[in-house]
Amino acid sequence: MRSEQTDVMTPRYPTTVRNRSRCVAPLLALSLALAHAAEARAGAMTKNIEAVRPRIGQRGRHVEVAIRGISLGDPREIVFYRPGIRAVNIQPAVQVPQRSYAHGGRVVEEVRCAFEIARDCPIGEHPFRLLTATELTCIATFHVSPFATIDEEEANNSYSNDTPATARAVAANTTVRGQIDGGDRGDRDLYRIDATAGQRLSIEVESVRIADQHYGDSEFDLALRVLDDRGRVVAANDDNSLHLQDPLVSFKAPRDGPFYVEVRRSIFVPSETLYCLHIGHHARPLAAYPPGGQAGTQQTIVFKGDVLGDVQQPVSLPSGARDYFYFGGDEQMPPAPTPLRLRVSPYANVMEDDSADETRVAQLPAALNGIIDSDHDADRWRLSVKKGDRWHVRVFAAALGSPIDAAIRVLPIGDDGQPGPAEWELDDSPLADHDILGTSFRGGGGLQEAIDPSLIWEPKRDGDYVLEVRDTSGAGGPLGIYRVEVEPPHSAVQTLLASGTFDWTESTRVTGLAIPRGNRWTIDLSLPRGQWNSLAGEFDLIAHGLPEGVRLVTPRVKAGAARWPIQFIADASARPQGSVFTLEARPVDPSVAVETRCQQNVPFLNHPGGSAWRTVRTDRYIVGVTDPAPFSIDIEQPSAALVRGGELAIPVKIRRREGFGEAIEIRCGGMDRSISTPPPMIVPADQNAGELVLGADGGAPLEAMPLYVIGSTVRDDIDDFLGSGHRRVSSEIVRLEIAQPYLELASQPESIRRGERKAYTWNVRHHTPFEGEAHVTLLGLPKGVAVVEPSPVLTKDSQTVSFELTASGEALLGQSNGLTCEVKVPVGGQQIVQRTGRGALRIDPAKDTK
Amino acid sequence: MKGRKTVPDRRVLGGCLAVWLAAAPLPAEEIGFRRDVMPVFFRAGCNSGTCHGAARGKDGFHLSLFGYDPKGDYFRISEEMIGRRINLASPERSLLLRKATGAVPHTGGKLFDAASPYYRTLLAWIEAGAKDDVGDVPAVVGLELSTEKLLFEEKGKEDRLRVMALASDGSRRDVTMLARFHSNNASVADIDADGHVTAHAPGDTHVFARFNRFTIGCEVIVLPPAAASNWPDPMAANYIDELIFDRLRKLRIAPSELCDDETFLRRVTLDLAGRVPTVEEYTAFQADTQSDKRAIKIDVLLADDAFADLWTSLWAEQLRVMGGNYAPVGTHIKAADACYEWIRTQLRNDRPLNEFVAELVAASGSNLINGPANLYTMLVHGPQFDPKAFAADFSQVFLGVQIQCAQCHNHPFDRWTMDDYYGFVSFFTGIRRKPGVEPREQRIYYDTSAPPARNLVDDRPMPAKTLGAVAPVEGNGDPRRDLAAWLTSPDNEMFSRNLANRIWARLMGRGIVEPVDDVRVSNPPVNEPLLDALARHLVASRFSLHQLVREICNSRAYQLSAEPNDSNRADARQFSHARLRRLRADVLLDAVVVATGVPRNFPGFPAGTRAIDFYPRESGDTSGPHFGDPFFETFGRSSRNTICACETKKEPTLSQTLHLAVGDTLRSRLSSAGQLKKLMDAKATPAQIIEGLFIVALSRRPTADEQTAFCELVGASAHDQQVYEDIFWGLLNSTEFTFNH
Repeated sequence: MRSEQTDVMTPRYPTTVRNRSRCVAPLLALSLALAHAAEARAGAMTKNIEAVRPRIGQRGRHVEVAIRGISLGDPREIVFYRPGIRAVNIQPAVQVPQRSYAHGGRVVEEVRCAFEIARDCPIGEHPFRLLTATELTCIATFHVSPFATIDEEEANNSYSNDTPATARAVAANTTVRGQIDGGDRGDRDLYRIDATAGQRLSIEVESVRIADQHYGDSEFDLALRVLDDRGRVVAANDDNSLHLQDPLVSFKAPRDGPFYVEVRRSIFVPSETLYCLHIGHHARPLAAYPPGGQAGTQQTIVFKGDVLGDVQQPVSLPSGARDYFYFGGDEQMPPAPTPLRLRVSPYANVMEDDSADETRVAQLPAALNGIIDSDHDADRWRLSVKKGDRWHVRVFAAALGSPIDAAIRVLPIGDDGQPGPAEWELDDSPLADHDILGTSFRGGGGLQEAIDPSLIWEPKRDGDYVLEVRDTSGAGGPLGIYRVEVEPPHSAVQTLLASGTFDWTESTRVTGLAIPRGNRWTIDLSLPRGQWNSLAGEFDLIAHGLPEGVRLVTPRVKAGAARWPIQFIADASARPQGSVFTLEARPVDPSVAVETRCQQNVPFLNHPGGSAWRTVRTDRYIVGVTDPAPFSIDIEQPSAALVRGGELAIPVKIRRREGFGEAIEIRCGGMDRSISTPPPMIVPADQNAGELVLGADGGAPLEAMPLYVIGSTVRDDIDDFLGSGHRRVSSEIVRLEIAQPYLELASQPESIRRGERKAYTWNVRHHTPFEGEAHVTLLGLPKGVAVVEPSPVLTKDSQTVSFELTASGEALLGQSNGLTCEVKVPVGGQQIVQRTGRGALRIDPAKDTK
Repeated sequence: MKGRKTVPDRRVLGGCLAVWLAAAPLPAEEIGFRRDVMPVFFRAGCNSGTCHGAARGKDGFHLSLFGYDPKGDYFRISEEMIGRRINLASPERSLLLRKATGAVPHTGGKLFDAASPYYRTLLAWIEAGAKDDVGDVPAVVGLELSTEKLLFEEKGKEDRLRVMALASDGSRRDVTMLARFHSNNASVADIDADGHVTAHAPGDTHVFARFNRFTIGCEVIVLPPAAASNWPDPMAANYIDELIFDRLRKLRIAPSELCDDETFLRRVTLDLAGRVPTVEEYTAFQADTQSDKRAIKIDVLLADDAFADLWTSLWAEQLRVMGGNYAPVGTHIKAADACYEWIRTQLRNDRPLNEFVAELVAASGSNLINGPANLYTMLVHGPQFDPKAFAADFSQVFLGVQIQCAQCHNHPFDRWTMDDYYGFVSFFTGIRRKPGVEPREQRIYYDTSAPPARNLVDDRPMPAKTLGAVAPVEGNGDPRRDLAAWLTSPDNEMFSRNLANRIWARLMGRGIVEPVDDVRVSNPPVNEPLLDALARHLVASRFSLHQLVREICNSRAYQLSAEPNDSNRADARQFSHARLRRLRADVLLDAVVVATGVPRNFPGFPAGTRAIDFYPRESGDTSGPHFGDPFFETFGRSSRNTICACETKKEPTLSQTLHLAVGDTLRSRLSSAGQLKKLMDAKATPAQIIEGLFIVALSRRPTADEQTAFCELVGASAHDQQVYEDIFWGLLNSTEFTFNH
């Protein structure tokens, strides 16, 4: 466990670049790799918002909320991803208890506001961003309970409610906001609740799910016990398949009397841990069967696992969404504080036939619903398909909280009616195969899909197949529900804001969308591929829901692009406000129908080493208009192409607002891997121009690609890489053409003796004409060998170029193979640098003259 | 078949046994390589581990250890270097014979001379062409001894054992001259190379004969002079006493007296609760006048969670439960805790031990949610699951059997073959671990498509097969279900005897088979009827740990005094008196805490954690040895580096003495606000304080002499805490405190 105050990361500061880098072609790949490594080796994990207190409030209530972190000055608006909460009276706090975190984060500022939670506000997690005068923060969250909320009110490390005698009495249908303290005895919190014999009590803890600390280990893992008045354990839980580390219990009171709910750590860690304890009489089913149904219909669902028995309930399923989080909500099932996830499909359910060895599926697509009801059960589904079909077969089991670890096999039925060798066997699938992108955490990120299978199946023959579902964990039983959705792959464009920093911290430089009024801001949108049919042609990106005065400007997206810059421009008159928006991919070919998805996944509780316990997910984006930035930057459309193996300088102009006299850091936006970009460059306060030199490797695609440059203010105390506390703008997006080299040089191996003077001639092959003289330099000569100045020059008519070499008496004997030529070609007023050719020179001893 | 013991193979024997002639020399053409030649190598020691049977052979010549690979041995003798070891043209010049007779330099020296039957057998075989066997050769399927017990009335007496080999075709032959013999305790009775047994001193032991892959034992009792013993005819409290006293009477050993109440209370509290009695417990027990107060006390202690907690610690030690923070190997602290707490819950509920083990064996799923699944992450710590290492440790823990020898060759001192070993390994070849849904989690599952292990010698696939079985288990699913059913079946005596023996050893300080995890034919129980009875009672109680412990603790044998008498002073294995046992490291530390009243904290655990509830939690991975606390290292708590019972050290050492004498563990607790301060604050008299200190430290009142001596020591310093600290220090440093007696 990292201790507080320990800075575990090395801050990464930009390098001041005053001289243009002259990297040679073979080093391009290396420098590119180093650049990526540098990106991954980011500095302290500084976020805008380190804490939101309290973490939960009751719907229909106003809750005073404190938002703590850095760079929160002049707060303007809180923009929620989901409806139901309105933030009012947003003010900076005067007194701020300062704090530092092990990951490098700090609390130095605080914003106070009130959250007006609507009566019909959705229960659960509400992600949001805070818009200030100068920036749009990283994602933070607040949670909503259906129950009245009270505070634990235990003084820190006082152990004042650690026994039944000192337990705080609570009524049913209450959410307690508590804290397990960090004392060396190991805190435990007890609450007393009275119940009558036969009454149901459901108790749920949210700890990991409400955590907003950046790093954590087992201190967030709590356990739950219920004791009777004789100290006997009535119910207990630590981990479970529904809520993972957050415990839940539900029990029927064996008799009238007080019961004591104990919240404690699963593992002793001397640290502070916030939790919410929901205590109520609500039903706490652990599984639903079938766990979904057809969109827009009323589906009868059996809710299983509640202590009072199964409940059959009609549920109206929405149309238009694939997931439906069901909390209950009527007399039979009053709303619970946490939901069961149901699946919604555009096609009908098929239910497992318990009386048969296998269940026949009349037609596809279909949703197959079954239960692995014992530790050796395996369900078989008979499907009829045709060779050449493509089916997306996706299992939902763990993802729905089922205890089973599903694995599938697809077996063709032979002419003898018996199953043949499996065409497919699959246990787990990467999260990306479940359409959860940008979560390459080492662990599963708390996303239960990580152990469900999903595949694209292309049958190898016409006829019947058996789809077999089994459990690898031996956890089958009445709650071992699963659902297999078999449907043709969707046609989709998936958009994603992927942070990609060390430990996947959200970097507002990479994913934030704060647009200064009268200026531009650009980020690279990820366009990952997955288990869907990707769009074959070009498309345009359209934004829906942008604030008034903000527009999206982006070049037409190239087919197959893995990422693409999207630029937002805020008019000078745009009002400072934020909004939720979505993107639409509109194919150039209007006959092509495609679904567009938006996604961002942010780890909220990182385990050191790049893995996460908890991931906050959003399906839309937020943009905010800030006050004008103190500068803007411009680049011009390059007049020359960047040639393979060559370099191209991009001049950057800075326009400063009156009175702004600070240094500015400039850097290129994300480029194709074949294009090397220089490290960030600091333009001193007294200068208004810089130059960024791009390089292309020999395999760079011969096409036009978008190029932009971003500029940022500079802070010594906060790493620019992670974004917070900086003002940023971008240049226009221009076209960067990648072209063949102007010319190629080639030579035969040559030799020279010590003490000799000799010409070394290279043949010239022209690709692109140029005017004027190109200067050629021979690079990579061994020690003791030099070119006699002046170096040669080339014109568009030259067929050869020759260097006059001299070898000294100490010239290094032997073969030198790394020779190449650097050619400076005059194009459009610039010297375009390119490298070409590979030469070899052998150094021989001096001729014996005796 | 009274007076004659037959061992082994239950797989083949049956029907009438024909006489298999061997005493007379065979015609040369009838000499078989396996039947006649290889036994000579065995008898002469050629294929022993220190000679050519070593893993790489000796001096360029390799034979399989004790002849587990006849085909390979034939090749190496006759074909590997044609003409060198066997000289068909001039058989007497064969190097094989010249080396054995010392005619040429031989590291092993001269093994026999040219006149010996061994020489004649080898020579005749070579003269007949040194041929390999053709067709099926009857295999040896068991041994038979001329007697299964030898009783010597006095030392110096002799007798002789004869060994018969039983073959798969029903034939038998006398192989006394081809067998090898050894004694488990030559100071009691020795056996020579020809099977002659000589009594040397009173006591009991076993002598063994080995031939082919079998070992068979004979119990030898050498009685003391009849006049030395006077059987006191103690009253047996239960079947345990009957069987122990029966044995002692035969050995002419008289048991000690029953221990007094103070000793009993301290002994049973240390054994069942892992700590010394509190003052309140002492006072209440002494004041109790019920005749069955000892039985009541045993039940009270069994019902207390501390009993289950102590046994949780013992199981966790055997199963190598340790936690780290290197999640990919599946031993994160959270996983270790899930495992630990699962064990604790089972034991608190007195879950039948066979069900407890069966669930462990067949467990799969999340190692955070399903605690028993951590059997497959903890028993063998490492980034990769190793089925061979696991199978070896598994059999050692759950059966007390060490089968790992059979990885490379048939077990030399037990019945396990390589087929047994690899068949057993195949239960685990499909075990897989994979990441779960959060960073600390690993999920355990069985890949039913995984191929079985292969025999090292001939590369045969060996489908999963229980130990000793002929046929593999049926079914194509997870074979661990079959394994669990076989292992924990009431019919599996290996399992019930192993559990009974370990429970017995825990309470009595020594196993009926000792070491408890080295059960083999050549290490027989010292009182087999007792072990059988304990195992039967364990099964009859539905594998209730509580019940077996209750029966043992209620026995007179458990409650005997540690004070020996003249007849049992030399007895260290027949439970004729209580064994002095140094407290386990964790129990000792908890005893210090209870006696001083000052807690001892451990890193990673909340304040107030008892030592018996502590298991190593490390930063990083858990593959190495971890004590978790320097005290445990000094006092020899298992480092959990292996599952061997030998890991826990019970021997006193100088460093332990120094630690208690001058280390912080005691010194810092004497002057703190603990028991001593409580006594001082009560304004008691020096005599009362001294008595109080005796009770908290030793669970007894001081003798009159002790009281007088200590009161004199206090003298005029009646209010000087320092003096009492010195006395307390002395009591806690006494062996009476650090031992259970």
